[in-house]
Amino acid sequence: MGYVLRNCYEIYSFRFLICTDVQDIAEELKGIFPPLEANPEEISEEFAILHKNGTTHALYENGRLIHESNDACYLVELLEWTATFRALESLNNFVQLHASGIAIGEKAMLFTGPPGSGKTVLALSLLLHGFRGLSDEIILIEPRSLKVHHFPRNFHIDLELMKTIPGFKKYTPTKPLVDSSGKVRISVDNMNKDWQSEPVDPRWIIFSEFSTKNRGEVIPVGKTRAVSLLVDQAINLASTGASGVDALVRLVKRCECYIFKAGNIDAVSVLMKKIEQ
Amino acid sequence: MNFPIDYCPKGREDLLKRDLEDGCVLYDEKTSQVYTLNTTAALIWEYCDGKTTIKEIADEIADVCSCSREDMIKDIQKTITDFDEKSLLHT
Repeated sequence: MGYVLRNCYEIYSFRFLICTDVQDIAEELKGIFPPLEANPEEISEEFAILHKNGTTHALYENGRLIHESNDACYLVELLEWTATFRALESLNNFVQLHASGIAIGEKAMLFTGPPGSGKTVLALSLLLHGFRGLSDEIILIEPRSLKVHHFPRNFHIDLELMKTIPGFKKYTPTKPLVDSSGKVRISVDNMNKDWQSEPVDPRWIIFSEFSTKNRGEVIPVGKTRAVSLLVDQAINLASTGASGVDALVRLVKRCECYIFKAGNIDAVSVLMKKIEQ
Repeated sequence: MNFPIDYCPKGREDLLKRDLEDGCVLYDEKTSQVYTLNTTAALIWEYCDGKTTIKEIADEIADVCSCSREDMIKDIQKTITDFDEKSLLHT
């Protein structure tokens, strides 16, 4: 098989291989997860995007056809999500949150909220200020210690938004592969920034609300409401059960919880002032 | 359903309850549903012991909540109805 890419990855105990014979998407696939080394003999899953005919390609998981399409970008997106979900299935000992996160010193700041609320933009903005990345989209909480563990998934940001923000513009990929929601992948490594590889204690939970009408306000939110908002973003609460709920309640009790109403990227300076207090 | 003022609501004892400074959280393991109660609802829940009538609950907490007993009774009836609709009460 004439692979142009055949890379191994490891997300905690989940080891997998990604390969392709399609040159055009090899670069995108290379950066789909941060480069982690794994022993090829211990691979449990293999994902492949292979050329079928004409402009049609196909995504396979362990040799089984998942989907075929002439939209290569869609197949890359589907591969990424499939591998992510497989990894999450092996991580049910953690409480999994739909959130982004950064590490400030030895403390974690989590951003959570519905799609389009500005989580990724906020997290990336703080990366530009020198903090370390924890994750985009998925945060792992160890239920007993509440330590926040990073999930090695690159940040996804709207391409058009990225082009308009001075600090981000220089990191725009030269040949961006835009997914179905108009977003491109940004690797922390490509930004010459660092991932936070060691678990950290949670300190702030930011519920982001983005609207161009907002002026940049950081509003304390009550603990009961904070739990309610967090529950909405908990991915595996049904399987963690009472211990997961307990962890979320303790997490909220431990953290400073705020609603951050941002209207533009400059509003992150308001958040920075709060961190410094 | 409008519960009469002499009704004694009883909360299910199998629910996980965790207190917060401004309310509480209830978790129903059978349905995997999480319910958050604000301060007033949490206070009403505390009195859902199967022995205290809605009227008695109103007598206890009207002063704490700074409202008239008539309004408190209506609020409690509404809250108890909400608990019932969410299957949080003992049947």
